[in-house]
Amino acid sequence: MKHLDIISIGVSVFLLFAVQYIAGGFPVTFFSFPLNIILVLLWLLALWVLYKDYRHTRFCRFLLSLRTTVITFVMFILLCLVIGLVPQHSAMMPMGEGGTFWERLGIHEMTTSWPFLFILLLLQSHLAMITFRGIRNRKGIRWRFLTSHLGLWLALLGGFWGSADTRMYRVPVYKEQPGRMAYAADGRVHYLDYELELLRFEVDYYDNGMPSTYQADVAVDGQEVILKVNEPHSIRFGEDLYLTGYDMHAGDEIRYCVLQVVRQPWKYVQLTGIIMMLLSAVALFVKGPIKRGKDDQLG
Amino acid sequence: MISWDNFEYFVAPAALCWIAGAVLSVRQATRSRAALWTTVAGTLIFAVFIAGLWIMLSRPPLRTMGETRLWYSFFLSISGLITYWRWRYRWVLPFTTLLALVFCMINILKPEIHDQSLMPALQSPWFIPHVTVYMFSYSVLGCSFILSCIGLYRHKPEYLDTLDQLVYVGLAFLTLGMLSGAVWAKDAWGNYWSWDPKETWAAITWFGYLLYVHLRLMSGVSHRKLYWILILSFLTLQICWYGVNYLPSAQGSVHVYSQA
Repeated sequence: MKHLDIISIGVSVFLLFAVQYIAGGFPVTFFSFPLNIILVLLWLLALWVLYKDYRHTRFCRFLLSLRTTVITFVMFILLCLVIGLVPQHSAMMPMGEGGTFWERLGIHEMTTSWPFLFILLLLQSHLAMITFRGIRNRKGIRWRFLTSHLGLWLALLGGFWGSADTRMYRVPVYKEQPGRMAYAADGRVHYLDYELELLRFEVDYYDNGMPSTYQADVAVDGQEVILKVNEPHSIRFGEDLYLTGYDMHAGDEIRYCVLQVVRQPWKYVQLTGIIMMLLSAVALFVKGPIKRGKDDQLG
Repeated sequence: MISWDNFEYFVAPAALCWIAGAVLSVRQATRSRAALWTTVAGTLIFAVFIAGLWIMLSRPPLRTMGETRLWYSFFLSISGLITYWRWRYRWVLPFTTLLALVFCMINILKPEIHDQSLMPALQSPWFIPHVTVYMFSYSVLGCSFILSCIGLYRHKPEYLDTLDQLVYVGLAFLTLGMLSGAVWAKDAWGNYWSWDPKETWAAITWFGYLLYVHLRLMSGVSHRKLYWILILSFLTLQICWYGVNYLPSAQGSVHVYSQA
């Protein structure tokens, strides 16, 4: 059957919308460390075995075909249109039970819905498979193919599998009152394993009264660090401290500022992918379009 | 002193040069050097205005919608010129000139709040590359949009080869813009990607052009389908650029700066 691939993907997405309707959003936090690492390794191993030993099976040919690229892109664009058109709830604050028919299909929390994650997983599996093939077979501009596809794969992988390990907290930091209390988006209190205290806060203003620059001198366990907007401070592997706000109504005597703690251990995977994609974008510009006829089989 | 108050005095001579270049290019079957130099002159006049505004504001003029339109007109004239000179399309300069002047007219008729302040979130070394790379990409993809509309009306096989060239350049710069934005977002907000409405529409646009690139590697895809993908992708690009500000999903977007 010629359109078996379209039908399979379409039916899967339809069924996953049904799952979403019945069971609610995907339990993202369940897949936190070390489960996500184990699953990534098993998934990669399975794809590799599939590629090496079962290349001529229908499923493997499906995961390698250019038609799958196109179908996946179209599905991804359609689901992104939902995100772009329908207001989304914060990922940290899911909707809960109930809601109208459309709400239960997850249109307000598309990025953590079953169908969306399925398409992302399919896209990543497809990228992994064509990368395996590209390493072995591809001729022509092989390194451009590999950096772009492997880069996108890593960027997606870091975001997708790393989201369960990502934590964000808001921390009000006061002068002369060292503290450890941080708040998650749902209001839950979390105690940091280091102490924060505001030492100094400086704001400059434009003539029209808008703040032009501000910076906070903060003590992290007694050690002074300077925080500015766009200049976070790295606490340790995968954990950074951001300046997000301050006591805006206080006038000259600012008593507190608001910091954000971001734990994102997978950010290095994402950054590696982004850098590879940046390089491949340069190559895309320099080398231009693929000459037709030569690489047709290997897209 | 150069400011928005004397924008008209720069647009008028630049427009005259661009229109003269467009007319000269259409009238001659081969490449016209006169068209080249008049268009270059118009672009230089425009560049003087941008440079003067930059100095006057004491910050790069890249923040408000009005300011990005300025860059768009500027890059559009350059992209049009490259397309004309490289692929010898006689009709491309009239279209890019028209589009560039439409954006100039919007700036004359509907000036934005042109103040000197630049909010702290935008004070980053990523700011200038992020916006200019995007504006250049938009202008190249604008040329591919014009060519696709014409191809839909009267198809010629060589149009698709030119579109490949334009889309590869446009997509390369679109990728640079998107990823420089991601790296900056990590520094500013803590996440490379957070599905903010502007980011979502950027992703839709990016995948639209990727779809074109991959469909071109397949055989038996109709040219009408390819033209339509480029036309629709350019429309999603418009939503990404300024359309999101009017969407209900974008209320509270971190990317809305101009109402400051």
